Amino acid sequence: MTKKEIINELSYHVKSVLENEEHSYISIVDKKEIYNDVMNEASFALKNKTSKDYKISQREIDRAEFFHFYNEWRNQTYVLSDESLKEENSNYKALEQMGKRAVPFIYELAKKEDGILVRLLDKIYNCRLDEPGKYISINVIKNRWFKKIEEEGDI
Amino acid sequence: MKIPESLRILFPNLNKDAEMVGVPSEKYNCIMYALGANAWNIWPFDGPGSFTANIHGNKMFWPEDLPKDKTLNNFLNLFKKFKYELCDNDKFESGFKKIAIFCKKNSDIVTHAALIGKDFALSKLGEGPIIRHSLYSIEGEIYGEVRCFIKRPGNITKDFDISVITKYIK
Repeated sequence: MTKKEIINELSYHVKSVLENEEHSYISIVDKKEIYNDVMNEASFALKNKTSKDYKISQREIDRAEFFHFYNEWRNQTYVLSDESLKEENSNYKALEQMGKRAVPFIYELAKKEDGILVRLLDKIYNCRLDEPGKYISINVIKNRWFKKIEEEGDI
Repeated sequence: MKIPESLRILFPNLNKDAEMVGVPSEKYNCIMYALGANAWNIWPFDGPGSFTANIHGNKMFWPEDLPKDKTLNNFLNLFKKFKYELCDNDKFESGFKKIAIFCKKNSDIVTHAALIGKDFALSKLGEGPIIRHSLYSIEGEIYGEVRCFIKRPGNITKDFDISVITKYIK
């Protein structure tokens, strides 16, 4: 399987999972056996090849990398209430390490889902747009981040 | 609804007839559910005040007049605000709401809370689904063990006293 095919398959899977609303991260685990091989091959390819090798865009690689770590993180931590444990997860740390390469996909998820990965954005931009200690609606927080991301041209 | 295989991997001792009774939601967690409502997450967080945005941007509440640590004693003081008191057993009592509090093994760090029913328990699993299960079947690596029980007059259906939280909104 070529890297292009892996990316295509991952993208299709991620899209279908995202369209499955709230059950998305459960569904992906249930389908894990089917997709395990794909994920493993993608991880291997990502570690060992560059976009130049396959003539595909860096954006496609970033997308596959982001959703790989994101789905793994959700699968491993969604039963926890303790936020600090979620932030300590190695997949979450990998998302942090992606830095601004992760932003277009955080933005994309936030447009489709109710939530937005605010703590991740705090780390990437080194600032907070929610006001700690205050009662602010998620829509206000989302709109502030959308504006900042769009203004900085990071989509 | 059938329990997803993913949950059985996370909770290998989960009883066979456990079932999913509510859909996943990032908007509220086990503590809020056990208290009887489905808005906000309740958990200690770093930072000032009584509210913050959680990792998904949803509201997180912890009263500012309590410390922000995850110890059992701190959680018991939270539940006290909702008129819960310690009790000594896991038996369902008609006319009372009873909650089991889970802690990490060999530690007083709270991990989870479950509502106790007659021959079953109800748990909101973090941002995951609500499940109906045997109380002790979710003990293990993730939630540790059942550490204590609390109760207050009332019934298992929603009877959440919202004023306990709204008084902290400035």
